[in-house]
Amino acid sequence: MISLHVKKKLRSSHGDFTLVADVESAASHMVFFGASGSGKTLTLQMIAGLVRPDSGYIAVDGDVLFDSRSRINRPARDRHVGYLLQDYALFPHMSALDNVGFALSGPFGRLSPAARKRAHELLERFEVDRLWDRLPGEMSGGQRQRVALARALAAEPRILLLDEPFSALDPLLRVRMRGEIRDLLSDWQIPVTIISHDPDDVEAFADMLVIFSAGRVCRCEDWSGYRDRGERSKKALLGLVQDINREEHRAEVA
Amino acid sequence: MFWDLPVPPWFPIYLSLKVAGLATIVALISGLAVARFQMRRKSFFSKVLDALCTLPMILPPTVLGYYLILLVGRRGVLGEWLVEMNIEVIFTWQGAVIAATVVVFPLIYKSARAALESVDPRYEDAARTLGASEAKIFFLVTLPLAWRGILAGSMLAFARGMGEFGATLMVAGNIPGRTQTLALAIYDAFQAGDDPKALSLVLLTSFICLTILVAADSFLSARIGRGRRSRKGAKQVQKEAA
Repeated sequence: MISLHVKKKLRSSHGDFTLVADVESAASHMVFFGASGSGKTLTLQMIAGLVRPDSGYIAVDGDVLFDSRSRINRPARDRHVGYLLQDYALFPHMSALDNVGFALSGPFGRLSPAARKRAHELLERFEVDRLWDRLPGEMSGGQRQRVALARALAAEPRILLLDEPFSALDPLLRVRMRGEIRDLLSDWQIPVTIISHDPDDVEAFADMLVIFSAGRVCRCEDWSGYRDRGERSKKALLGLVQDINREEHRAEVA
Repeated sequence: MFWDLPVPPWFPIYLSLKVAGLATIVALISGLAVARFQMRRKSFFSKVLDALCTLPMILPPTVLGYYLILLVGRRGVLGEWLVEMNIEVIFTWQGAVIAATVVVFPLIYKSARAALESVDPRYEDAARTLGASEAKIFFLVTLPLAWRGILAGSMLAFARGMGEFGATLMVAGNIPGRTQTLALAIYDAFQAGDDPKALSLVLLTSFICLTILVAADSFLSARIGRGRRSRKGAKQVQKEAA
């Protein structure tokens, strides 16, 4: 259950960018869809606590993470929001095991035997346990993604945010990983929000579809009826995108 | 023979290494702390602090020495307190350490800040969402990814500390066997017309500093995470893929 109503203004030399996002969703799988630069990543970063909204309200499962009116802004470290960055951001100087164990280690990075075992179990679940002593630079893209997911889940988040999880993979691998990740996540039973600009991801993951355009949430659609319906999902999505384009064009002319 | 001399000839070398080493350690700890505080800050206050921390690199060492005397001299701001605490700074080797620390601080601060800021902030973001405290992030993520640049800066600082002259002369004086470092001994030998001694000390200092600079450069140019281990691993990945 995510409740999100935020405003954020970014200033840069290329001009200002304003994000206004309102999303209410109880869906277990949500997809943020939209072109690059439409504010999807910024929205995820605000949920994760990495970017502070100018004003608004963010709650997950009724737990308030941010509320500008009552001055609540929980730091990222105790939001329990798992966040997989776009190219995973595995710590390059740590082995797969240390990466996964990072959330479980003490303040000096020491892994207790129990934490070590847990990290190994997670690597096993994602079928990368034989890579436990490899550095991220020594892994393939798909392996890196599995390790990064295991690392995020080690912290026992209550929701998981994935920022374009498949865009860094080559097309053949993308199709395979999409299926595998979907199966793995369904074992986990935690709500997932995925950023994508790939209609295939929408079809495979979305119970709820949120379309971003130019810093606004244009559509929040219940998409569970289209899940795994192949061409029907894509056609419906295309229809929606065309609608939005037409609306924006009309707004520009007016 | 030389062992009959009141001051053994290796004393300036020993003192220079000791002073430069201690100054580097003190400047490393404080420089790292200030660099961490200043990291990715852009406020006006931060710019002023940055300029203040860089100033010792620009100012003549004599100016620094004068400031230090105003601070820790007998009639200085901290002078009475130091006397009460029974700490002698002026004309002691401890004074030389203080002078060298101030001189080498900007070298460490500047390189540490650049090295810390060159670490991709996404790693720190990822660590934050994994529930890590800022201290854990600094010591386990940022510092291990930045240590090369910091180490190179520290070696540069050590080399600079070896050659410190002006500020040391003003604060610690030039007492053979007590506060006479290499640079001061060279000046003394030259003034006394002892050219063989001056030349040998000059060559020795040049050699030590050259060694340090070459070592610092090879640390900087070696790329992170490209050790033998990873080349072996990359081959393994290729083999598995084939």
